Amino acid sequence: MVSLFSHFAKMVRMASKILMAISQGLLAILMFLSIADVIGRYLFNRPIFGTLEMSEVLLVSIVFFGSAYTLYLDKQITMELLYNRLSPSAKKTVNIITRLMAFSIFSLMVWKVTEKAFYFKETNRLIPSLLWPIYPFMLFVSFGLILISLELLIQIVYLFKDPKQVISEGGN
Amino acid sequence: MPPWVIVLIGFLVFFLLVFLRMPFGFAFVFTGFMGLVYLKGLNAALAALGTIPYSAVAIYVMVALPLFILMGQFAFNSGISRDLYDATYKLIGRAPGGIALATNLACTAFAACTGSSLASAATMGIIALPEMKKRGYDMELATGCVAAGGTLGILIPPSTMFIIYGYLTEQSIGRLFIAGILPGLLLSGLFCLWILFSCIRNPKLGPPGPSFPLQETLSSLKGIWGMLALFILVIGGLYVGIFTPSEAGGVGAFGAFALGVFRRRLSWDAFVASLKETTINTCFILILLVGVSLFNAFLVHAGFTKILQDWVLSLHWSRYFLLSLIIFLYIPMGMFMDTLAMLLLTVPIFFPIITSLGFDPIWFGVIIVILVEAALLTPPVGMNCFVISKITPDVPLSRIFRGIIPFFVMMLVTIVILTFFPEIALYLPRLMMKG
Repeated sequence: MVSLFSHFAKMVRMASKILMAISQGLLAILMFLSIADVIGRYLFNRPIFGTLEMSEVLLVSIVFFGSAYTLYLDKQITMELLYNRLSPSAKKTVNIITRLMAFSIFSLMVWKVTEKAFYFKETNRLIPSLLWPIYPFMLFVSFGLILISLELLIQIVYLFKDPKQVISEGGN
Repeated sequence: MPPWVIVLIGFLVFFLLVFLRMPFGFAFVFTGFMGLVYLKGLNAALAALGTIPYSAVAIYVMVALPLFILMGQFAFNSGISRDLYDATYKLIGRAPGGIALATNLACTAFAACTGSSLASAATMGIIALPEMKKRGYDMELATGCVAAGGTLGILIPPSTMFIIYGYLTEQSIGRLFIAGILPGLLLSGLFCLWILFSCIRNPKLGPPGPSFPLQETLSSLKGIWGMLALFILVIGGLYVGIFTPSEAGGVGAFGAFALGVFRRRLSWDAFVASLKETTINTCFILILLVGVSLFNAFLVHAGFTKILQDWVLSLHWSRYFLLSLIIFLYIPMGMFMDTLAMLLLTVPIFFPIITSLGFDPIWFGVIIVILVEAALLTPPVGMNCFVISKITPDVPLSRIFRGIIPFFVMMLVTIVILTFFPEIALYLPRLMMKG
């Protein structure tokens, strides 16, 4: 059972890592898109059509593709002051409770964002000026949120089973 | 239950969660959602959960955030901080406290490439502290000047804090950037004056460094012209209105990348590391913004900011007294909270009060960023001091905290000067408006 779970955790974390790499690639694309638009606009009087909207959806993709891995690296902003004074068992309990709370909210978020994505698909909601459907990008958000929720779930299970595996040591 | 009680309970739950080490972003989401459930019902709260993750992030002005972080990362990984330090060291190193002065000036110049205080403090600390130690500098002065100099990174544009303040208050990020220039130079000048004054009074604190031939000094400037030109292009472009902040970010990031490649300073590994660090920072900041958007929706539905604003105005107290109260609230808060979280939590609450008291929103942005800088220095969680402590493990943290006291006082002096002479912050943005 434990072995099955650790395989599952490895798969989820591998997916997060791959998405993080995609996120980095999208960031590079965002930079090149911005400079190409500026050069096109000011040197050739030919800006790239829809840069504003493309930049927005790129930003959305960067954030939600990279967030699960950021959570795994324990890079979120936290406050250690009081927490550090707790005993190891109290820390464990607190970690389980706070992650359960976060897991429940993020699961609800997955449900509602996915629902919204399908609603946008049905109503053919488009990104202004580009006229691209908006729902695939909502599904990117949803996918990122699923990975965040799964990462939280993995951390909860590891808190019970093997606390060393909760977050990445060394940030890789 | 009256709305202010609901909000009070909301804040208590929020602080309980963050004290228990729940990430700030998640605590904002949880408290905001529960508050909305209570005030508007489950369906309305769920509807907010379905829309806010996308709508809080898909905002064009926020594209400037990763691009300016990336610019700083490229500059950092290309070793520009070393070039800046070399140039300022050769230029003024021979003065009393010369290495500390050079470090402070290098921090000021590096602030023009990065929007991060920690990056400034860490890079300059690694370069300058061993040199100051070798030359027999007083380590309180040495560590204090690096920790404080590092904070200039978020006041002198580009600045991540100004981008986030602009997002929260719907103020022009370009005007905020420009507004940070003169106060940043003023603060840097005050830091230099303090270093000079202390070292002239007691030369043992900072003995002068060696002097260099004019030829060598001039040739050291070669290493910094590119970044200087890039800063002028990016901020100048914003100033004259050629670029939007996001375009300026794109130009800055690409320019720093091109300079690094052109000078063979940016390897493939450094390029990837810059992308990775920027992505991580962007993710945690924007997830935090998703949480704050939900939390603010709760505050708005509770009518909290309006209630607080009406109550404060009904007191008929002097607006300067109220401003002082707000400023003095930030100092203890900065001792315990992460600076970004502090900004996100407080600005939506205080901003309506400040503007209704007749203070300029751009000017207040500058004041807030200086307070955030101060929070990076104050114990027990002054992050810049911890960064310096990691670089110099032989200097006790208590000495580092003692060392920042005069620089912290200079920050308060700057706030007082800016309060009496707001034009220092507003002169350049006003010229921009006329243009």
